Amino acid sequence: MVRNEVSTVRSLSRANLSEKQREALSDDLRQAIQLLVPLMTSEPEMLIDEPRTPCSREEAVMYFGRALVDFSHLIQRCTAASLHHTMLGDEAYLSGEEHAGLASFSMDDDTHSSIRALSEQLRKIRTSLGN
Amino acid sequence: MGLAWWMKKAEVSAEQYFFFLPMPSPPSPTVINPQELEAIEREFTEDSVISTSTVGRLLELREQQKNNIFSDLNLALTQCTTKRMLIPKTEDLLPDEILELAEGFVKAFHLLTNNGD
Repeated sequence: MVRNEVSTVRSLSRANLSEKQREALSDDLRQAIQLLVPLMTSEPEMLIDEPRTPCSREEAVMYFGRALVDFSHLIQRCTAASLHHTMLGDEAYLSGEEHAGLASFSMDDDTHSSIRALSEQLRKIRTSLGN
Repeated sequence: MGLAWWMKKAEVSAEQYFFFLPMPSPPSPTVINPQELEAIEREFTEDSVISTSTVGRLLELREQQKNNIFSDLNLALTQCTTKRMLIPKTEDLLPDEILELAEGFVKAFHLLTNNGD
């Protein structure tokens, strides 16, 4: 049994840990997994409803600012979700459960859709600035 | 009409701009007045003459909002990790599409502030 390539466990192998240490670490992970849930499921209102073409540099700044906030929320949510996924794998590894089938973190359709909209908004901003 | 005068740093990377993990220098939270943001954006849509300082202020407020989001993330991660755990790098946690988009945002930011050439 091998540890996931990306891990939140400081120790390189469960074999280096005593049973007591493994239990303590498993408890840490279970608590962390619960704490991450609100962050990974938060749904703040999107400021960019659809990509817009700026007519001036001022509008480019306005649309950039809105997209920046949306994208920062997206990074926050996806970081929490990926970490949650990693910790589930770590907990399974520490418990000695089979976790080889644990797929790498993947984004949902809504996130893919948001990324497409934000990319398109950035393209429109850069085009309006002559880039 | 560039905003280079407003820039505090000559050039930032995506890792710095979006506070990639592990976060050595997390941002401090800032209180933002939503009415000020709304008032500035209203000015933009009212076809009035906008001063460079107002444009700079809008960008500054949006950046403070961004920083607050990463401050919240840092706080949550600090609360949920212990000394037996470590936080992986952002590059190992997020898919390439998001990392590439982060680079795109920084390029656009430099273009807007006349540092993109």
